[in-house]
Amino acid sequence: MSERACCVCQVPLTGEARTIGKRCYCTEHYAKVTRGRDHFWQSGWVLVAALIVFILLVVGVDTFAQPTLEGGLLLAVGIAVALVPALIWLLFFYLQDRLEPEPKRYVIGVFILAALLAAAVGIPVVNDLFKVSDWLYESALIQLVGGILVVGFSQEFLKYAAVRYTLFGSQEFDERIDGVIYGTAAGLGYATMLNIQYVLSNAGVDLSVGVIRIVVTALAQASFSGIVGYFLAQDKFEGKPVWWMPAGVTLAAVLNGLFVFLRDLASVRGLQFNPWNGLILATLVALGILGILFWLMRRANRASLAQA
Amino acid sequence: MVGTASVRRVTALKGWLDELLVVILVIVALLLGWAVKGWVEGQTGSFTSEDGSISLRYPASWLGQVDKNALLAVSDVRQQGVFKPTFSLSTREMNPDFPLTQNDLLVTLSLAKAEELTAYRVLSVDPATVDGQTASTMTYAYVAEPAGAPQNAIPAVVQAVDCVVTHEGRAYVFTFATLAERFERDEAIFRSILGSVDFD
Repeated sequence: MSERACCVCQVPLTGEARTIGKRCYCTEHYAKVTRGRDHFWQSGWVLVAALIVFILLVVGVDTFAQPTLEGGLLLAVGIAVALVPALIWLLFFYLQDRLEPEPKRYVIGVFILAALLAAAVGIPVVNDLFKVSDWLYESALIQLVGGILVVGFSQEFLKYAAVRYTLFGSQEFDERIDGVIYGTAAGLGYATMLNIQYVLSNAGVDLSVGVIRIVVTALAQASFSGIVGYFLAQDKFEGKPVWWMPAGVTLAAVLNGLFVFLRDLASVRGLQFNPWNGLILATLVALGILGILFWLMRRANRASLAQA
Repeated sequence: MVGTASVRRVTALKGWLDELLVVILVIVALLLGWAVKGWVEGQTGSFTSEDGSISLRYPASWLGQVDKNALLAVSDVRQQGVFKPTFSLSTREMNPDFPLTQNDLLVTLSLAKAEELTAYRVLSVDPATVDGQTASTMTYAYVAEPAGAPQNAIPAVVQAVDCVVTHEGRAYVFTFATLAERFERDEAIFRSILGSVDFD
């Protein structure tokens, strides 16, 4: 006879224990793990839609009002725009999260940690250590391979680390959906820092082009780290084999590098630059990944409940 | 009987192995990325003079520049900053009746640069070797306002080096210039170009 414990709260289990994959659960945590949390998915769809509306609003103001922004004001507006995607997501997430609240400080903590990791490690590694701007655009193949190996893996690992080495082992990470929630928060934190750096390095940005670039970065980073979050959650709650997490990080890194490659391919035609193509691609990728994760989570929860 | 503690140990071990594999994977990916970077940066273009008297290799990503006084002028146009690293090779026939030493040539070059460059300063003169030939190098600095810089941009402080070699009655001048703040780092490229020089 074996003595088992709940994999979330470590409380010893007696008699028939509920299991998912190789993991055992107490009644309370079994119910939590298999919970759907539809509001999270709603906030995801709303985020994508709200960001499109936000872009149209900013481009409309820029086109028709043609505001004259210079110096410090241009910089301040650029930084404010860089923060908007994360603020929209957090706002909708918490408006819909009132019935099943996730500890706010953890979500915001992961968001800030990922932003700090981007500023302290990710951006210096890519820009200063690897100096990707000096060699990455040598050819299409180099851009794709280098983008995956250097940019993709460094970014996805840091977002993974922001969740894995903080909340992953805690009892707050007690639902399948938590992986995607915290992964998305890490992705938006990382994207926010990338966008602030983009604004600062250009001493402000053209509003129309800048807002599209900012939204594209936010959608892409949130989507890819959502994938890592899904792999983290499945690993924790189903006890996946040891190759599972490396496969998850690799998948996200490959998609990350491939996305940047396709975005540049779609946006640049000779000497012409059309950021709208990049936005369309980012929107399709974000919606696609959100849809696939939604379907995978739902399928996993249904399978667990059917097994029970 | 399998106890709770041992189950926890197995789970912890598996989690530890997961983490280790992810870390190893990322390190391997970054090392491969570093190798790709090295391979791209190691790619070179080649130059051979029309008469075949000299050939050399330079970074393949550097683009040719218009310089009517030079046999070859290339620049790293992708480099950030108001002054791009530039390499040029020029040559002049020596008068066999009045052969100049390499130091004489450096003095002549220096006088010409003192007239055409702003805030020109010689920093050092050192011996060198190019393709087994004795050479002399002169490192100097000046202030430049490159074309294309914005009106309100601060002028660039440039550090450059001229390397003079005489070979079969001809003087070859290899010139490398970059922003002073990047000189120490970029100088390795110049050394690499000089190392590839082949006199026929």
